[in-house]
Amino acid sequence: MALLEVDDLTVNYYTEEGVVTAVEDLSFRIDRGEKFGVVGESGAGKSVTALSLLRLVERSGRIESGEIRFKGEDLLSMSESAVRDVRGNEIAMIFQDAQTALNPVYTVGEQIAETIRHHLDYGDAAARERTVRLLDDVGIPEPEARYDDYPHEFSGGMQQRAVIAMALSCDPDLLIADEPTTALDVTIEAKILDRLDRLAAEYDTAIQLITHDLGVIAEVCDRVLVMYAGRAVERASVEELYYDPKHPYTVGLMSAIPRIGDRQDRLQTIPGTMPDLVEVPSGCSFHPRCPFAEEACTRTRPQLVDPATGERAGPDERSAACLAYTGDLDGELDYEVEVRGRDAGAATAESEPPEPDGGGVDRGADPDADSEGKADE
Amino acid sequence: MSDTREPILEVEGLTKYYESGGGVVDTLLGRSQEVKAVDGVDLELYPGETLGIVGESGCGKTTLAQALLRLIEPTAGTVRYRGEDLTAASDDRLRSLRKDIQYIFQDPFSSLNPRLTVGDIVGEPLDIHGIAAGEARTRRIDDLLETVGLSQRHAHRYPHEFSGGQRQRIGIARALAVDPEVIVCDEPVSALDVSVQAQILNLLEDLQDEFGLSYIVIAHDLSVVEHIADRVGVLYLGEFAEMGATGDVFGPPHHPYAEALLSAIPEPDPGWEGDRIFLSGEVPSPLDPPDGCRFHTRCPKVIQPEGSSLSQSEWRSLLDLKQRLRDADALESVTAVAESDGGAAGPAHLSRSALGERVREEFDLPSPVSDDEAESALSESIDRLHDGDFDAARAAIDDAFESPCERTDPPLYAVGDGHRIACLLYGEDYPDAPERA
Repeated sequence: MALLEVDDLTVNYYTEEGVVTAVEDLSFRIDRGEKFGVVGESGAGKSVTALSLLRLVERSGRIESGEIRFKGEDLLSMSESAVRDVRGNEIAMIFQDAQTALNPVYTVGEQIAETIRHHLDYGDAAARERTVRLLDDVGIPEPEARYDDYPHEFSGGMQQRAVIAMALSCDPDLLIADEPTTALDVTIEAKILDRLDRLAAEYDTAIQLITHDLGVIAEVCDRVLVMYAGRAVERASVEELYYDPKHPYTVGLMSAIPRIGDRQDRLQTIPGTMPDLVEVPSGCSFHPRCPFAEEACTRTRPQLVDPATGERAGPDERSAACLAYTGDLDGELDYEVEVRGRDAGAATAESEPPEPDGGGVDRGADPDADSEGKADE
Repeated sequence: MSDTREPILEVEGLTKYYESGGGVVDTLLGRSQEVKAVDGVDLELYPGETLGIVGESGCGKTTLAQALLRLIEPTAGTVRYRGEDLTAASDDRLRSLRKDIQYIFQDPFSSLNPRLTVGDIVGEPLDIHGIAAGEARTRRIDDLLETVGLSQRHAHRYPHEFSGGQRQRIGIARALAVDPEVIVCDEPVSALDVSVQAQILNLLEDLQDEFGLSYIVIAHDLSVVEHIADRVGVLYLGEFAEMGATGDVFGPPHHPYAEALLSAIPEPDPGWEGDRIFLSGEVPSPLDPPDGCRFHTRCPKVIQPEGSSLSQSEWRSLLDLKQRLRDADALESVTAVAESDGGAAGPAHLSRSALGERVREEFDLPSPVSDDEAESALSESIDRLHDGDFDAARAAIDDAFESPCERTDPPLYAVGDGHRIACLLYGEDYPDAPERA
């Protein structure tokens, strides 16, 4: 049995502009000790997914359907107090913005010690000792002295480390990290990812890492889920995803990142932007931006299938949601992906033909597609 | 870049100090401090090229960019545009010079006036500089919107109706309105999603080809800079650590800081096995930047004094200990956290040998370290710590371990064609330093 099982999760937000489906029919599994990545651009539904796992979706949002089982227990049918015991204790979360995650009027050490006393019934002295050791573990120098510092006395990197220490304080089985290093500099990011990786191994904690940064995913994760407009579009091991992506959106993402050591003149781009979730395009929601889209893509919504067989895939199998794999397209997905590390020097990812309307994709190829459907008359 | 051409923008000794936060009382008592955000920066920008400036947060990138255009008033230094000194220009003259030098802001959400239509945002510089009015103004706005990949239909809408990428396009159209020669772009894509980021980077390159623009691009993302820049400057605590053609800066020989930055970029390739260089400590405060080389407090390659036979990692650890001791007043600061020692007693009650072990554990120092003199200085210092005499402990270590990097502020040494590195390792005194290419 997997540690976390999510089946057909759908989350709606009720806004003035209408019902927004932030997450739709999402299923995935996370095993014990596994590092699972969720990648996508803003508006893909990554953070909402994370919040639903802790039942922290804001009031305007509602988990419409689906099941979330943690160690076999259904989180959605638990009482509020039972969920509170799970939060922090068994599932902990690291937010992107450490500054707002820490309470400014308590010392950093006290905030962590409080969690320990609450969840693990430690006495004052024992909780303090454990806190100091945790602060030391996450790489905060002079932890005894820093215990009594307030959050504003910490730098951004230190605050994020303190948040990680707090998240690890009760030996959680699952750590959800939502863009944990996005606000930090690369040198600090490298250190924090390295710590996170080692601590997860040490404490045997599973990590769900949510990020838009494909570099971070490649470094940390074992398996990856790619999300687009609230739906999973591809699921694969990290090697499969980077060396042999199956969904046109993943291919586009891979080719759009500038890579060190790759002196190509132009970056490949995905025309347009992520659709507004109030008006998700019909059929495959990626079709307005997809270079391989055909008539069928505007009508039929693709399911996650095994790209080799076209059969519907289970929630932990390699899969991609594209009609190309179910034989519904006339053409074929015609692209090449080549990843060569920066040591190899030469050019990297290529995907062709990326530009359906003959070049000029960036410069106003289609202002309507670019306008998120918002600015249309 | 060929140095035969005249630079379009020439910056010398540009400096910006901020008065630090102190209140009225501090000012009266003369206690106010200066934040040295940018400290004597030289650079040249040649026509048609893109100069990238990278560095971590707090290193002075944005201050540098804004001081260039006198959006903030520099403390000292000159900025010459086609030979004319901007820092000495009158307000009127400066205003007309800004027709030639434009600025694109980092945040496309706060840099556009929400009460103006897109047409008026783009048209504002046309009005201010008296470039076009009436029918001509409308035509010019339509042209500009088209140039950046929007359409004239968008002219009557408001900024909130647009996505981040589109707003950045509007910002670019506004900068282009006055037909500038130079555009300073401050983190032009950092607020955008990956797929949109690529669109904007390509747009910037197209516009450069079309209008012969020169760019200064400030970014913290090294892969973005590597992609777009012809030359790159690496900024650390308000000074350039390295400057050169992009290929040179991204390849060896490196400034140790640039090398660490490069090694830290997460590579979008799961099979990539690079050696990460982890820097010790944090960026020091610009209120009181370190003497000598500003990077010496974190540098993995900090130079050992002559005759020392320590391994480089031991040497780095000893300097870390020395820095830590400098403001330490409790043993907790310099000892490792014990696995479990009943907590209450604390390191003050440890025996001399146990204390020594804990200090060495905190700084990953072996016992003994591989140089006899260093070892005797270290044990002397631990003895003093055990006596509780911090001053003596400091003195024992301060004299014994001093790196040339702490005393000498390295100038930018030329290591190749236009490639300069501010590190003593590349100076004449260290002709056979191992890092020299």
